[in-house]
Amino acid sequence: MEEGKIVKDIMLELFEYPHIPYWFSIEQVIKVMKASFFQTPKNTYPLVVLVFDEKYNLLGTVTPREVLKGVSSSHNYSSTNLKVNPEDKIEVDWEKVFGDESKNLAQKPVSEIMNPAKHFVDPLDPIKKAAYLMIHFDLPVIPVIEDKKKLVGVVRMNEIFDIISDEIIKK
Amino acid sequence: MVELINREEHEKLYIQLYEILKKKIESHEWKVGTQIPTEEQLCDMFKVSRATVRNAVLELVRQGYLIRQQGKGTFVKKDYVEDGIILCTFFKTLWVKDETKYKKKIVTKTVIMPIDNLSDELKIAENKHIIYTKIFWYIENNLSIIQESYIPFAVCPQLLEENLEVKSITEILEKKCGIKITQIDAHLELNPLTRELALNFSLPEKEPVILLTQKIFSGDTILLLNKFYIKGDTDSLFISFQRRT
Repeated sequence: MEEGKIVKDIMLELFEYPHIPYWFSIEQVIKVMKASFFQTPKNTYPLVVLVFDEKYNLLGTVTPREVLKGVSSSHNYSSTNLKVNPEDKIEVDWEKVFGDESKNLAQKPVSEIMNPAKHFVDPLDPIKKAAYLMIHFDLPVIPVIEDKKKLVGVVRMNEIFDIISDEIIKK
Repeated sequence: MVELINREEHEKLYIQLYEILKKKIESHEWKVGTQIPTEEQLCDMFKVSRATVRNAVLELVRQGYLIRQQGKGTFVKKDYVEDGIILCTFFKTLWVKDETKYKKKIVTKTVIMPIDNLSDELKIAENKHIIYTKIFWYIENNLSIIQESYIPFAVCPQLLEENLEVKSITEILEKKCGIKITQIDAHLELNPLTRELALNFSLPEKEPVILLTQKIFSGDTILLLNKFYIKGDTDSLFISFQRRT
């Protein structure tokens, strides 16, 4: 296999993605997502918003999935417990999953629903390390940290897939 | 005498033309109440485009030097002095007599997206990043003023790296980013505290405090929006104007 492709080669600029602080409400995140992802001709896949603290340290990420999960009704159909199989004889009122309660849930801060950033790569790490972490921890993007402290960019699956898949079909 | 426009200078042509025309009014070369040359004549005089002339004249109208009369032309305004003496002031971040009494603490410096009406206020698209800072100003350990600032990221990306404890944002914009501030609009109002600010001040929610909003421009670009929430119990607002010499 080809050696030497490192994170730095495929890293994207942070400012490709919207930034928010952790105290924004889900409703505010929805507005940011609408403006940045859907009401603009240019957006960068995957649809992810980066969440920061007061000192501009990255705390986590949110995607439309976390947002919808965060506003889905929690009492009848807990978003974590609800697993409906087609064979089950459960009657589900789908309207209630995103019903009146969702409006209240949208007032929660984004810190309660984000994917905390726990895994990072260095610009000099091999992209295969980034690939491994993204697959095993189901990450939409992985942050790139230089010298163990400075956030310099993110890596997404598009470029990783492109490079690794090339190597596999070449064999 | 026709003053010439310096095309080597980076300053926009219309700003140069504005200054030249303003001098003509202030020196009474163009007398009060008289009609000024037409746009075409000004284009010829200064060898600039119609758009440059129009911008300069419009700015003079806006500043109260000239008045346009439909179908007649543009005139030197009769009583621009009586309307308001033109004075200037040194711009200091805080509108207080002695800024050195205050100690500042940067509590937040991060990046946000424009929500609520921020994109309108800063005249930027809703998908553009904004540097957001929150600064606490203390007098003798009492929190006296909370400053929130919003700067479009594209205006000065370096600002994120700068230490705001030692330099002010306007200083960084002018000295580090080489951006010239051309105008500052300010307004004052009473503003009920949000829950978060009330907690910061240890005051009840909705307690009214003075809100000083400053919008800082370079030409038509808004560089910075400052919001100062002022408790007003320890110091009074102070600003001094002087006649330009």
